[in-house]
Amino acid sequence: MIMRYGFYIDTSACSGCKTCQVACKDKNDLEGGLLWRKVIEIEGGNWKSNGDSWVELPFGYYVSLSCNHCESPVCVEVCPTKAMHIEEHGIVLVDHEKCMGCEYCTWACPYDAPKIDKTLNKMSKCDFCHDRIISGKKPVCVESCPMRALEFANLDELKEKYGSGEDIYPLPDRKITNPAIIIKPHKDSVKAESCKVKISNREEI
Amino acid sequence: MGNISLSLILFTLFIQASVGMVAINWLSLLFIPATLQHRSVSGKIILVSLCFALSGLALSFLHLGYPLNALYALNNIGSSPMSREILAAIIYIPLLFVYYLTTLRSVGSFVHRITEALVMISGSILILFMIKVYMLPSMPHTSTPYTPVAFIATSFILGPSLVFCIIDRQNRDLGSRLLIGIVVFTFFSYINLLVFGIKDYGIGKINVALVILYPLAMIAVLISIYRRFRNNFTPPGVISLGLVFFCEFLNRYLLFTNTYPSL
Repeated sequence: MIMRYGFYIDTSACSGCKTCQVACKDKNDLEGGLLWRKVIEIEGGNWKSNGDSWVELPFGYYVSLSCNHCESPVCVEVCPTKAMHIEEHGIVLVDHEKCMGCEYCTWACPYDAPKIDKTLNKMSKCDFCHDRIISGKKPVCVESCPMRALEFANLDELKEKYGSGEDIYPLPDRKITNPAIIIKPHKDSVKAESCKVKISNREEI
Repeated sequence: MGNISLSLILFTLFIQASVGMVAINWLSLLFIPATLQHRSVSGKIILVSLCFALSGLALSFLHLGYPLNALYALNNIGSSPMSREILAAIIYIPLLFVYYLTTLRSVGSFVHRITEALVMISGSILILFMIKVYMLPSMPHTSTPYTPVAFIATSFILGPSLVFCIIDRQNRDLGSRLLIGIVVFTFFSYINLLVFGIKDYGIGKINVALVILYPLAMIAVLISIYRRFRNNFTPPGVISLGLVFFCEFLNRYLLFTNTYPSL
C-alpha cells in the first residue's frame, strides 16, 4: 500500500492567529490575495429564553485549511489538461507546463483549494511543502503554528493516533473526495448544526 | 464577479443561442417547409448561428488564464466533463460551417439533410456536456435541476429570438409562432427560477430583480403578439426581446456566482 501524507487539524486548539497562513504565503512568496492555506472564521449563535429575559449564546471557532491532497481528488478527475495530477505519497500537484488556467478545478474542489495565480495565469495550490518534506522537514504551516494545532505525518500513523476524525461545518462530506486530513472538532462545532452559523471572513479566504 | 468572468457567462449564452437557432431552423424546415425553404433565409439563420458559436468560442479563450495550453484540453476526455465539452464544441462548430455551405448550395438534398442531422446531434451533445460540467457531486450549488432546465430553456429562448429577428420581415406568421414559443420557454425559465433557483440560492438582489423582470418581459412579448394579431402597429422586438435577453443574462449570472466559492 502506498504511504500517504496527511494533516491533523485540531480545531479545538486553533486560536485563529493565522500564523500558518502567513508562513505559507511567505515561504511560497504568494502575491496579495492568494492563499494556499486559509483560516476560516466561523461564527454563530442563538437566543435562549430565561424566564422574562433572553440569554445570548454566541460561539465561534476557526478551521485552518489548505489542499487536503485527497485520495480521490476531484480536481485531478476533472482537469481537462491533466495538469492536476497525483505524485508520490499522494501529493496533488499542478503541472504548469499543461495548465491553461480554466479554473475548473477550483469550482469542482469542495474545499476551494486550487487558486488562480494572476501573475502566471495558471492554477496554484498547496504542494505539502514538497521541497521541505524531501529534506526531512515538516510543512512550514505545521512548524509555524504556535498552538500546535497542526500536525503532519504519514496518514496511517495519524489515523492510529487520533482516529479518523469528524466532519465539521463548513467542510463537505469527506466521502466525496477522501481528504488526507483528520479533524479534531471544536466543542462548539456541533452547535453549527442547530444554530444560525456563517463564515465571517469569506471575502478574505 | 469574483472568479467567474463575464466571458464565461457570454460563452454559455452564445453557444446555447447558436444551438437553439439550428434547432429552430430544423423544426421550421421539418414542420413548415414552405416558409423556410428559401435558401437565403435558412442560410442567414445558420450564418448568424455560426457567428454566435465562433464568438462563444473566442469568449471562452478570454476566460482562460493561459489559452496557449488549450492544446492540452482534450487530454482527459475519459473523466473530465470540460474536456468532453471542448471536444463537442470542436466537432459542432466545423459541422455547422459545413451545414452553412450545404444550405447555400442544396437545401433539402441528401447531403444537406445528413449534415443537418449531424449538426443537431452534435449541438445537443454539446449542450448536454455543458450541463454536465456543472453537475458534479462536489458542486452542490449547481448540481441541481436548476442548471439543466436553465441551459435548455436558454437555448429555446435565445435561439428563437434571434431567428425571429432574421425572418420576421419576410414571414410574419412564423415570427408570431416564434414569439409564442419564446413566451412559453421564458415562462419555463421563470418557473425554474421560482422553484429551484430561489430554493437553492435564496432571495438575493438579482433574484428579486428577476422575479419582477421575467413577468415584464413575458408581458412585453405577449403585447407584441396581441398587436400582431390585431394587425396593429407592432412594437419593436428590440424592447421585448432585449428584456428577455437581459433576464437570461441575469439568470446565468445568478447561477455562476453561486458556483464559486465551494465552501
